Amino acid sequence: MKTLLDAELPACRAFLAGTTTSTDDHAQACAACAARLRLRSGLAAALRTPPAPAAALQSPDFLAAVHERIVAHGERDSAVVAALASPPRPAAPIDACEPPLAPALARAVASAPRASAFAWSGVRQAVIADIGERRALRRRVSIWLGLASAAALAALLPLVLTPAEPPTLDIAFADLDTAPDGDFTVLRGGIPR
Amino acid sequence: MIPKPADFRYLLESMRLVRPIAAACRSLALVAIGALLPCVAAWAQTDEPSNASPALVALDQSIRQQSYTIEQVRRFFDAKGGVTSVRERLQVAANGSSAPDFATTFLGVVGEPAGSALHTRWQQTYARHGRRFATQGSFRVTNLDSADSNYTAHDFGPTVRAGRSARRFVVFPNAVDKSIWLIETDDATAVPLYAAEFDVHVRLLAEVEATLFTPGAAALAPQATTAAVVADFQAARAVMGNPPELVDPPTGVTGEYQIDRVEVQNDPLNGQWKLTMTYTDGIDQFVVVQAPGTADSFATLPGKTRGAPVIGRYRDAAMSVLVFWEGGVSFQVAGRGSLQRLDALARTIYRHALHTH
Repeated sequence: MKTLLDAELPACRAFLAGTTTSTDDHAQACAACAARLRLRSGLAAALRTPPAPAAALQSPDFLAAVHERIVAHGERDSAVVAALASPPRPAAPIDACEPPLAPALARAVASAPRASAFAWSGVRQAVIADIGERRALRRRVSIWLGLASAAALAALLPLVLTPAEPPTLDIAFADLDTAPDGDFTVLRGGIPR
Repeated sequence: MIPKPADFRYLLESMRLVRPIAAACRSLALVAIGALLPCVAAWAQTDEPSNASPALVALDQSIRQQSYTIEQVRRFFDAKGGVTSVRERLQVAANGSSAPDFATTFLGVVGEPAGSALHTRWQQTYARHGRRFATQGSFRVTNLDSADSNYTAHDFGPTVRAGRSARRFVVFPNAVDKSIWLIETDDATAVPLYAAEFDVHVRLLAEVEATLFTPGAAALAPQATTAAVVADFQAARAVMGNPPELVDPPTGVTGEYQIDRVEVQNDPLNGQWKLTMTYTDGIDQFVVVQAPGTADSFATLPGKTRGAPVIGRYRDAAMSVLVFWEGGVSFQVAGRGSLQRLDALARTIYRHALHTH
């Protein structure tokens, strides 16, 4: 059964989604949408202005109490909790270098199981060998590339250096009845008779 | 992901085994190459290839080492079957090279009285071409390696020639467009005492037969020559005053024929220069002759008057002669009659001449 809501729903959805341009007409026709429009305007103004925190929350004493509460009820075995339980360090000058790791993290790293010196020596040698292999490979590739380039150049050089082929002309042969004068004619046939 | 140290140890152990083996293989290969290279170089530089025909080796050594005097009959055959036999004396003084010093003397025409017109013409011909008869008109190994690559010598046993013990050989070409030679060499000196040239149809093309052979040094009669042997084409052009119209025949189109000799000649009568480049395959020869400042004899031919390039060609069983003119230079390419590839060579030189000019 088709209801009035069914008929109005698409227009209301378009109005609330902001995809329609005729907002004033629909707000005047639909009371529900007009109410929502008013409420949205109020909320937008409220959200643009963040509320001021309560004065108690801004007190250093309150923050210290929160810290103590966490320490008191936290997990005693946790390294993070242990770090929080340690007394705070005095403020360092601004330009002083910060320690690279938090103390707890530094201790954790320090307490991690270490590989033997022999094993790491093997790793080091393998890395060095790997780098050496890569260098040798690059060198070999460079040599082969150089040789290939030289071969290609040598193959192309004659094409570059060879003078242009003379134009192809239709050269005719005219057969002669007697041998032309010349040393070779005398050499082969003697003197003309 | 960083591998575990144990994995690295395994890899290290593997590499410790593989690397020395690879290095050893590399060293062995280098040693082998190093040992082979000198052998290959020595083999390449040797004057006598191990597989060269003994007959060709003996002929090559004879040219370099043997001095002698020989009287012989040279027979010229014309296309109609006519024969002219001319007697000559050849004196050779070996100098260790493949181009010994020599002198040629005309002795007469067989069957023709001295003082006749024919006798006089032959006498004049020998005065002008006698040296060429000796260098290009007889069987001669000009390059042992090339001869060995392009010919095969077959021994046909002993014989007697000019009253001397000799050995008969057939020197057969590896290509069908060259002559077949029947030669008889002196047993003691390996000097050819007889040489007959045949084409592939076994037609006799030329013949030289010794009638008297005397080994040993001979006092050479002075020979007037206007030809000078130079190193190469550039040197020849420099001697001739760098005429730009000359063409250096392109390498690569002469096949197994390599440049053997470059000669420059100046005609004392008209001052005209002539460049003769001789190519050889070790035994056979052809020439490329260029003479600048020569009138074009083909200028009035119908094709030539239309501007079309024309090569004049004469060919019979004994010779191929191709002539053309370009840029005021007379070109002549000449060789054996069967060497039809000279047509292509002449055409190539002509194209280069047209391109140069």
